[in-house]
Amino acid sequence: MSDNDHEIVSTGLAECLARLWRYGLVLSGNRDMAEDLVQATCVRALEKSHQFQPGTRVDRWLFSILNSIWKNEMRSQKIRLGEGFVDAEEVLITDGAKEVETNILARQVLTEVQSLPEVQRATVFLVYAEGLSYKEAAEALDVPMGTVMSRLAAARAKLGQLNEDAPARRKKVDRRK
Amino acid sequence: MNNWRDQEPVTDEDLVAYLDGKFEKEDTEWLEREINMDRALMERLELMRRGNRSFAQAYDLLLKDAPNKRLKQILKLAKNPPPPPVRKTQPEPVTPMAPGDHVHREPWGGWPVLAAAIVLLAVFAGGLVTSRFVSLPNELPQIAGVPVVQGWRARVAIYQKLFVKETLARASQNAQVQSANLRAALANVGLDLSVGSLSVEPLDFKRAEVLNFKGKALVQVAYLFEGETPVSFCIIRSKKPAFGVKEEQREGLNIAHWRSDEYGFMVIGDVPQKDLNRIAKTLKQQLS
Repeated sequence: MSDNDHEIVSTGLAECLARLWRYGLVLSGNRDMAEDLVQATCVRALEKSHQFQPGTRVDRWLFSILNSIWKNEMRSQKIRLGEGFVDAEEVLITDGAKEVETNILARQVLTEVQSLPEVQRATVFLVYAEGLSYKEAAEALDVPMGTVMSRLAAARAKLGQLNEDAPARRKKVDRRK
Repeated sequence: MNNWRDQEPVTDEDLVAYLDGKFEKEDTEWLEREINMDRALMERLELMRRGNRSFAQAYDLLLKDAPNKRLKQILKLAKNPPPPPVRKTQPEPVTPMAPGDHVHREPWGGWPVLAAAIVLLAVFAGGLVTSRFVSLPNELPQIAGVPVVQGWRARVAIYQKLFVKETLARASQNAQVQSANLRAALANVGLDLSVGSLSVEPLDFKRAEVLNFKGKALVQVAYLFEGETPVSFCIIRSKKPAFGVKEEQREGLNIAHWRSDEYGFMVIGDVPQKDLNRIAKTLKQQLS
């Protein structure tokens, strides 16, 4: 393991702790699990710091590690414990996010996004809140870029329909009609 | 984003990529012409546009709520993990006692207590709870290689035996923190109860933890009895038949326990049995 890689990862972790916790919260919907995800990510990233590629963004790499831990290890634990997946109303707001409580618009946005399926809200979060490109999000989520685009489109359609009185419309439009 | 011209029909993915500014200029101009000629496409684009939100702004507020101090401690621990505990891999052979032999008992309580102590250290190291799902001691005493079967109350008793007043000294007294702590812990066993509903005189609520008993979540709600003696109220899911409050003693501690159709409950501590029985009956009534 290169000392330099280890130092880059260690510094990156220190700078990204709050963002990693936030991503853990978005995925798990549970503040305690978000902390556990950060803990596991720190341990894993430091163990695997030799795998970090210098010149790439360490925050993206950390997001991919956290996502992998969630998907492969902790998500099943949460389901096994019978917690299911709760809404933003319960998790992101009433469980301590004081500033969110006082911001009606933010509260509405978070509640709407939290109502999306987990994979969609994770994608929306990474692309629109964290500013990852489609390609970076695909790497972090370990899915093809087309899947990222599909999830974003499905999320935007769902959110768009929340403000729409008309019935749901068909997904695809034949431009030649 | 430049293969979509060949695709039929135009998809929502194309429209979102266009709205996100991912198209090259040439493709953008072409798509805009198409949209202007196709009302349905325009409406679909409008739907996608309405699906946009101030995502970054909303999520930025959550950053301000991050438990930064704890996260820094988590990173610090990850960088400097404590050395792994030394474990005994083979039990000592049991040999018949010769006349005049004395029973040697480790003054610190033997392996079950050591295992519990390790758990306790993991929980309270530096005031940091690194994981909310803490395993109860799994190192069972063995006699001639045969493990002694222990139930959840026996395991809790071993753990509870280690509690002293100081164990709970650092628990937050902030009502909001206590409420959030209790709710988060109880969620692991599918319950949602307030601190008030679990209050019984003379117990003073300190904190709630989630423990692991054979893969099942076990919630321990810790109190101080008359401000001095640790007492715990523990809950675990159970499908065994319900029964009323019974009493027993384990590890020198008094216990009052009962079962509902869905849960097993126990109150445990080094306090008079009659007090525990009264506390148990009050909690049972408040939960029914």
